[in-house]
Amino acid sequence: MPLLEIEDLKTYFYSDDAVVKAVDGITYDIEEGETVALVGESGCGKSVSSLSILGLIPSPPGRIVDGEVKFRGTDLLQLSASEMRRYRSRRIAMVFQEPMSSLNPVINIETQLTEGMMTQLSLTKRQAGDRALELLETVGISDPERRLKQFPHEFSGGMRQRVMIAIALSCEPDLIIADEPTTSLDVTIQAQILDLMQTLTRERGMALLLITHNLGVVARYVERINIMYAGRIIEHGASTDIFEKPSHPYTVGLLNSIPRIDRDTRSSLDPIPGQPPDLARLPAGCHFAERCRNAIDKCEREYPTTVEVEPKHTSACWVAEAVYNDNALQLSHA
Amino acid sequence: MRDYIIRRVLLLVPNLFILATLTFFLARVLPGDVALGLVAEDGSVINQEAVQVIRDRLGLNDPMPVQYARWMLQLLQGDLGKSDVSDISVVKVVAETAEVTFLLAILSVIIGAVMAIPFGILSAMMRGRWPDQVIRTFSAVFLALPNFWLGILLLLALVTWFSWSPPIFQETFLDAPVEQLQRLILPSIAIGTSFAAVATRLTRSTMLEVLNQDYIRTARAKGLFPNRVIVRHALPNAVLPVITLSALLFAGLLNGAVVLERIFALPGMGVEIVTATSERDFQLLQGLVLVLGAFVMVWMLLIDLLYVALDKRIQLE
Ligand SMILES: Nc1ncnc2c1ncn2[C@@H]1O[C@H](COP(=O)(O)OP(=O)(O)OP(=O)(O)O)[C@@H](O)[C@H]1O
Ligand SMILES: [Mg+2]
Repeated sequence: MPLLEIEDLKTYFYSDDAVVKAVDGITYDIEEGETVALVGESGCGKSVSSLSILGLIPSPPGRIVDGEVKFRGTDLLQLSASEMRRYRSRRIAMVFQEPMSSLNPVINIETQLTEGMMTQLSLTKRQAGDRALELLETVGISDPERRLKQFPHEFSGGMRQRVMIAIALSCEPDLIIADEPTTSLDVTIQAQILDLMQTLTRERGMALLLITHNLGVVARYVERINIMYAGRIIEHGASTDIFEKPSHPYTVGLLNSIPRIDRDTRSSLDPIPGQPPDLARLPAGCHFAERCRNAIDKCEREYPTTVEVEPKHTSACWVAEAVYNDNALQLSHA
Repeated sequence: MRDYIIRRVLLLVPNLFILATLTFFLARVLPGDVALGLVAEDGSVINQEAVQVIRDRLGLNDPMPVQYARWMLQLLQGDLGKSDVSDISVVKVVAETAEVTFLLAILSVIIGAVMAIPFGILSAMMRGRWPDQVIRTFSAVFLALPNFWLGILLLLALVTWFSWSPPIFQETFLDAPVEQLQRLILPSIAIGTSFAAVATRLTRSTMLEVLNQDYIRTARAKGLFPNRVIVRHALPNAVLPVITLSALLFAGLLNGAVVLERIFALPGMGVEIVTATSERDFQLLQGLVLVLGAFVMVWMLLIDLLYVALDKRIQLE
């Protein structure tokens, strides 16, 4: 049984005159101890889908309208608020996108680091304090004794994200969801943080869901990749398959828009033209059709069915086979 | 932190000096002086000679700079002087009236805050549902009512239904704390309620804003109990503006309690200042205004320090 199975999850935001379909039926899973990526452009619903897992969607206006989120077989969406509370940080922990604002400005680091352990693991203040010291050291913060007494404004962005990682690790969860943990950090710090997360989760046998809009960043870190576009997952596969044989024109576009040194046939930087559709007024056909180079008539009319282009590699595209074959062919020539 | 406090306290000295100077000259902007009033009280016809005698005695014939220098010297010795009219020392008048004014202001702010903070939080948590609607309606209504009018209504209700009569103030708070508070509780409720109307709305809106912050989401993601998220994570951030408002209101009440002191026949500083002004009792007027001003300054300093203690981000510059 997979650790986490998300089945046809739909999360909508309701306003007076519109329904924003931020997440519109996504399905994927994560095995125990596995590292999986969720990749897509800004605004495609990555954060909303991850917040839905732990019941952290602001409601109103948001609501999970359909689907299942099974954690070791238990559907989290059916749990009461107090049952759900027990899963948070104890089973599934999160590292958020915004390290600058995700820590409480008026509470010291020690309290913010220990309170979860005291609640979820029933540790005493002393025990939690000792563990907090170890955790800060683990995430590479020097002079932890002094640092514990400090407040978030005394930490740089990268340091805060390390604190967030320490908080996420603190209750020994089975899964950590890292929502663009490095987006707002310098490039050098980005790699440090990702390396740190990978090492620490591997050591502890924790699964990691890495959310990012930068396909290039995740390449070295993840085993499987889910590509998301306008509230849906449009391609899924093993990391190497996605990179070598992308089978959805959107994924091809994403790969072309990142600088690459390993392949030079299409290497000139080439961003995808146009904008993603308005999530409140989605087209009837494929959401990507308007921006797609390979679009055929059918794409405008009918949302594509998902096809398996090779084992464990799926694509929601009417011309998936052709795109796959094209890229596979180029690969064999290279 | 210690350096900051010392610096702020030292800064009080020039501020007080400016306040004393302003008080002195503003008092003298008024036409007429105390001598005219004193003589008119004694006889019907104004006797120019008698007026001059009094002016001489009180030093009102000296040039303005001399009078000013004399007052400043007096202040430096820690002496507020004596009332021009009654010869009672100003310190004594302050001592007798300050208590009522201060207790009234403090009680009003406390009552207001005690009502506003829970209602504001409740309103924010229940946004859009009926408790929120009820609280918002009431606060809008109370906001629209002038607080002195609320005072009058309350007073009338008490007099007609409970045959209440204005209390007589003889003991001080230290002698009989309970009785003193009882005498002040009704006017405090009148002022406190209209303050609560503003503060409830402020608490509600800051609370809603804070509940949307990323760090609240972090706190919830940790699996903390909802109570802890509200009380420990949201509240300290949400009450900062409410504290500022309370502080300003308290300062405003010290200076503006005249109307309510009048309505409820409370022997406070406000009433005394009005009397001193109409009698041109410069010594008393200057003394009272200076003391009130000084208290407000010290109060604002205390609030700033509280702010620094609550919010570590505030740079001590
Ligand atoms: N509180 C909210 N109220 C209304 N709409 C929302 C809310 N939160 C998110 N949305 C909508 O959901 C959509 C998906 O947002 P989401 O934050 O999941 O994007 P994302 O993929 O995480 O983007 P980014 O890379 O910028 O973080 C957005 O288009 C936004 O309009
Ligand atoms: Mg996001």
